[in-house]
Amino acid sequence: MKIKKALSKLPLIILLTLAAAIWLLPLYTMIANSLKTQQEISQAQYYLPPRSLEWVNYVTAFGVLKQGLQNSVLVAVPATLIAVFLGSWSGFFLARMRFKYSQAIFFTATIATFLPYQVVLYPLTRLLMALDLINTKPGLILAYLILNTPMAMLVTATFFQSFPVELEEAAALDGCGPITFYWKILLPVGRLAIISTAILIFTMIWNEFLVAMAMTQGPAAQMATPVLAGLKGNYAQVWHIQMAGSMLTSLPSLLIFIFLGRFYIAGLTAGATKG
Amino acid sequence: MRYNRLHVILFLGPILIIVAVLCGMIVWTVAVSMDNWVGMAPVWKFIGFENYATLFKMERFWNAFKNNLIWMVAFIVPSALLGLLLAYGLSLSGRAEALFRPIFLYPLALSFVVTGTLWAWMYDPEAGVINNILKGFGLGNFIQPWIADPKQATYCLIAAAIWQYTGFAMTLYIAAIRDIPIEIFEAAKVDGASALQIFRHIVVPNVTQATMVTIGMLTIFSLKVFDLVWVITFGGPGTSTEVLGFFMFVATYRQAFVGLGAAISVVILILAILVVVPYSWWSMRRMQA
Amino acid sequence: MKHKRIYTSLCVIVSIALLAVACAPAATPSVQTVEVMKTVEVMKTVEVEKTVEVPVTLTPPPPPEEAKELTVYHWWTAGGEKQAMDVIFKHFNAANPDIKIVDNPIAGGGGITLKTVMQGMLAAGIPPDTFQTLSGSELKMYVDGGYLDPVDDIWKDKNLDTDYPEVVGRMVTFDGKKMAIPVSIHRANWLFYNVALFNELNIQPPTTIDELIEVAKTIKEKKPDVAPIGLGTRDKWTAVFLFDVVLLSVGGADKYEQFYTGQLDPVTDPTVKSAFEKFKELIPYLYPYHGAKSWSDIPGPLAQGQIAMYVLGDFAAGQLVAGGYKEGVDWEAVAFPQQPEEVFLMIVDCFTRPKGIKHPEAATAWLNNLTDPATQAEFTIIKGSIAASKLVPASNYPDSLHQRDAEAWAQKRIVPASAHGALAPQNFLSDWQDILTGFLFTGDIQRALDSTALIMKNYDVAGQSAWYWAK
Repeated sequence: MKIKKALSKLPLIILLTLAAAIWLLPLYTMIANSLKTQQEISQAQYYLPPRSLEWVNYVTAFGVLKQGLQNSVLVAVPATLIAVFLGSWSGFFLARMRFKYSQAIFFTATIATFLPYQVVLYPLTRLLMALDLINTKPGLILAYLILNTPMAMLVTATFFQSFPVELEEAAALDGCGPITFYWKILLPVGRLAIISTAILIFTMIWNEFLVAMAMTQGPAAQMATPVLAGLKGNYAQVWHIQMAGSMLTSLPSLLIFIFLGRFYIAGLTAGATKG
Repeated sequence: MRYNRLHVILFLGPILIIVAVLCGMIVWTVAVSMDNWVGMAPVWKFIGFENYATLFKMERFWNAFKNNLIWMVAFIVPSALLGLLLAYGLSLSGRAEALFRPIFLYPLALSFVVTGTLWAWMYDPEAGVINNILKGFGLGNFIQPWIADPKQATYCLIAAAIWQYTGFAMTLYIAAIRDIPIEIFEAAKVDGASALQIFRHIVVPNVTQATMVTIGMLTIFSLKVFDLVWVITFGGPGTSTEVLGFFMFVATYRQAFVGLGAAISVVILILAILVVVPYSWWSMRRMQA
Repeated sequence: MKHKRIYTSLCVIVSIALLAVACAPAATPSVQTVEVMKTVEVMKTVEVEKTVEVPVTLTPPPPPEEAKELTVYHWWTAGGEKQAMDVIFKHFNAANPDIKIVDNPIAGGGGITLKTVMQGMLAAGIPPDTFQTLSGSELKMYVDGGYLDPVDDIWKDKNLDTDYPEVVGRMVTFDGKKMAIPVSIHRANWLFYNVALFNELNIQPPTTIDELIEVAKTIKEKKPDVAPIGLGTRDKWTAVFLFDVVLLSVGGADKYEQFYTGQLDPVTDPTVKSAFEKFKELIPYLYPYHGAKSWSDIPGPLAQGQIAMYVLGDFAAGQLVAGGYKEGVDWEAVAFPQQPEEVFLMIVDCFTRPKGIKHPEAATAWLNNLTDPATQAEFTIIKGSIAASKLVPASNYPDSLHQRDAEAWAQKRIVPASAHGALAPQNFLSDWQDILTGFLFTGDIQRALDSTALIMKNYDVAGQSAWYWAK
């Protein structure tokens, strides 16, 4: 009986395996070829595994990307922390307090979340110019803060809404005001929500390209994504170095995905599906 | 819990400031789109809708516009459909789900720049992975110019985006399928319904909400698309893969037609509003429910 | 109870910290290197302080923001270019040991990306002390914005009117004032070819567009696997390089200058039309996947014999040499076209002195150093260009191509290239290269001519190019 049941699933498993093979092919080529020599690359047999592991490709790619990766960290981490703090701060109030205009604010924040960046890109550039922050890391942090706080608010608010009402009731009995409530009760209880949101926002900023490219140039403030895009332009046909660079740039978000995937998915679906 | 006016200012101040800044920037863009601003320094010379008139006369604009429409159709439908099929397949596969799910989802964690670099190489007509694999397996007849052919290039970009975003649709659908009460499935099985019938009569009607979300989010994404075009084809061959977002960037930052670029932004804004406002309204109502 | 709450909130903080650690693998080493770099900087500033100490005791101490520095923005970042830039730095620091250079290299061929930043910094009123720009219409953008100080003092002082060819001066003159210092010159009209292939087929390098078509035809017949003419229109300006030699061959230098300064009507003028006709005849012989390739993808296959010919600037030679391919053995280049007249199609790299900068003396010292033939001679060898100054002899260059470059610079008629923002206005060029690349896929001459006429009118090419004809 058990075997029969397993057999009936076989066609499905085969189909899924085929699809999975297609989905994994780009990742496989990226990893395999990032470890090949230039000579192996020129033989163009990309589906073969590397003959020896050329870790030196990663050293080369890291040499180019070092500063960019460092800038990415220095921009994405603070921007994420501030955006998630501000977002959850307001999101908490909107989600847990009865407030006349919360609907309207929610509505505008949702629109702001989904606004294509292109619409505000140039005014944002001029704003940073006016503040003398163009081509600086603080400028980038500010830009990402403006663009991502509405989303942080939306996602955290969605999480917070699902918490039981008794939380406030207990707190009100203790004579606890909104500020104490946020720090002492909501943050600890909602830590999964906060982490999920932070992961989502961090990955978005880490992977972002358009704003990073438009606002910064040169090594001082440029993030990893524009540097990687430049690597593609300047080192034509050195595919193995490009692939090593791609791996390096993807590493943080891939690691998050592997080790904190649960939170990642929770954050991703929070705005979209409600429990 | 009780709160006073100070609390309102304290808690909602930050988000209101940010929303106000965003609104201000949109108003600014609309204003600039009616000015004859060319060059680096601001030129506040009001010219009404002349920028729009110029824009609508440009072949390049309509080409980008058309590409955005192609993106909407050719990207959203397959991503959503594939996502749903995969989600259902995974739900049937039992314990294998845990193994397969991350495989379809990991591309979402990558930057478009990485995806672009990767797929630019996959598609390269000579040194590319796809053509070389075809050659290696004796399928030389199927070799294509891919991104070197203006007719195929946009679809190549879209395929890369589908690869990256199917996992997103799949995740939403998995959650939706899980929400369908298990009794319905069991009742259907007792009635002897096949997997296909269950899919058609139970799964599809019960995931409409997830479909709305998927389509909404993917439409928004297809309006934003920029990075993939930039990295893989740079709008080429010729201008064949340009989208509005790309055209706006070139016009504003490369050609210094700030007024014209703002007009393109406004077109993107209008398209986005057509999708975002009903979507936001709908999702807000759902949150209230 | 309270303890528990504190504990849980601690947990949150820890997990956020862990999150940061999770992204650390790529980050940790870079953080370390930063520290190393910092210490180096500290040491440098210490040195600077030492050298400054002597005057400090005599005069009142200068305010800290007047520290002797020079901020340089440029786009010479690729392999050999960086080393070339180091040569300039070396010469500069030899003459100005007390000035610390703050180097801001910005990747992106032809400085396209640099323009975006510069636009922002200049408009914001925070100009660097000097930045790189191309001459002519690109320089004009900055001049029109009122962002630059004239450099007539340096020009006169260094006698550049006699050291530089007349037309170079014209490329940086606006309203009678010199606005930038030219440093390095590239020649745009070279035809590279694969020597073995030409020997095997017993053919001579073409000298006119008709010969080019003839040769391409021969190659295609005898060697169907070889692409006769290489091209990489992912960089759209490469199409302009190819069209420019066609136009020069069909119409000559005068027509060329007139066309790109808006003096010809593309619809009615027969020269432009016949140039497009010849351009169209090239299409079947082009490398078929040019839309997916960059300019730098072509030299390798050319030297290996998959591509027979390639029209591009002398900078392609750098790519070939870097790939280990030998001039005269694997590849060779000829000036193209040689009929009706062999010209030097010129691209000029300059540096500027913006208005309102923090260190004007340092910027002046920088520009002075750039005019020095010794600096230019050493720099251009590594850069793969030639010196703007005629005082640098052709024998300065180790390879035949650049020797011939320098000889042509001294002897041939010099014509500013259209590409890279020299002759035609920047915004026109952006659309123009789109028209040309688009044309390679459609071959629709009338449409190309009409669109050209339209953008010439829209961008007021005639008006915008008036500076070139100004006396």
